[in-house]
Amino acid sequence: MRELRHTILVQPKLEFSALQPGARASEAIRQAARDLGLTPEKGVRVRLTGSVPLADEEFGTLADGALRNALLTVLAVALLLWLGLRSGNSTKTWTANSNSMTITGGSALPVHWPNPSGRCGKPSPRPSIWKRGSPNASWVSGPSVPHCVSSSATVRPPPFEGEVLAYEPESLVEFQWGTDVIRLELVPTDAGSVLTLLDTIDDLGKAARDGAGWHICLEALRQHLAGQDSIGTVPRRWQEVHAGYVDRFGPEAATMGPTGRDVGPFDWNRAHDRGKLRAMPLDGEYEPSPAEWVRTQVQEYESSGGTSGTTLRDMPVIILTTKGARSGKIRSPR
Amino acid sequence: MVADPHVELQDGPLKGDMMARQVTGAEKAEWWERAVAAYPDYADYQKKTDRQIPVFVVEPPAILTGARA
Repeated sequence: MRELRHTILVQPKLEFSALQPGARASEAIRQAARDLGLTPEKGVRVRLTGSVPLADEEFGTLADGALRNALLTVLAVALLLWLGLRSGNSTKTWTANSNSMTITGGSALPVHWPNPSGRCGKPSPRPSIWKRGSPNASWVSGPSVPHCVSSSATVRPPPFEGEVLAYEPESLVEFQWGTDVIRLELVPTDAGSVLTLLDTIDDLGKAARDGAGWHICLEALRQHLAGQDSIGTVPRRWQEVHAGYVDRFGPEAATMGPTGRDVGPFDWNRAHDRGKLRAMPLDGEYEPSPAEWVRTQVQEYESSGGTSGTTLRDMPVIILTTKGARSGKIRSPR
Repeated sequence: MVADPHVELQDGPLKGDMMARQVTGAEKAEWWERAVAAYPDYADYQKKTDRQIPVFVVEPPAILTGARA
């Protein structure tokens, strides 16, 4: 049977404040297709392709990975607490003084899977934490062990080394976590204990990312221990918290990882190389500048593909194209 | 640009979709100083008018900065 294909070009209105700017537009298109009866049951398949749905899918994957990684890290912290307390069912009060919060309760699940082969594959069905010859997880100092971090299919970090550096039952655990050294200390107080989390990093560029990540982990841990296990808003909350860390640490501490709005230098050329800057070209009726000299220079600039007319008074010129709020016309002043 | 901050920026042969953001306060003062340093006529423009000349910072959409890592 001959297969007929029709292509419909759509210019969606994107929401740049959302992680997936074209998600609502894509859903509207799918809904319209359903309303028109363009369904597989009637022998019609509607597929979306192009830069917008592909980019949405990519960032959707990132979001999935972020949520999963955040969950795994929360569980890792929960396990550390449990190992320190050895009382998974008891209720105790903790204060994470790095974020001025109170955590109540205690329960845990393991999260990392040591892989003696050094290769990351499917996690063991019986995960353990730095297990060294004992069926029960235990903290002991010793040689490093390769570890694998579960992640999304498209963003899978390489295995890294883990090594317990210090351990005092119920009060201290310090371990190498890739290139970081993470130290967790518990100090008893009248109200419970104070948990101090110290992450020593060797790359300033990830300080805001990881600081925000730990912040969210501790918040989520508090929710988890309070029986409120919803961390479905992690990506949004992470963005909110991340901005504060960027403000406090400076843009040089935010050169790695997903970023919010106020970030460090953006690599314009690299973004172009990756085809990332053409998300939503402006469209509409073009209205040349009323000033002839501006009109002439813009025309020279654009007609040459940006190789001529690129300076004014020996200074570089860029072309900024905007859309008139009332007229809807496209304008290109310099 | 206030009503529709989506702009297209061409720098030589490269074009890209960007977002314009009006800046105020200390942030505006910082950018205004840079603008006048690059193009001193801006200072004269401001002297000739009572209105405050707005300053916009053009940035890549946040989603694209997230893609650079």
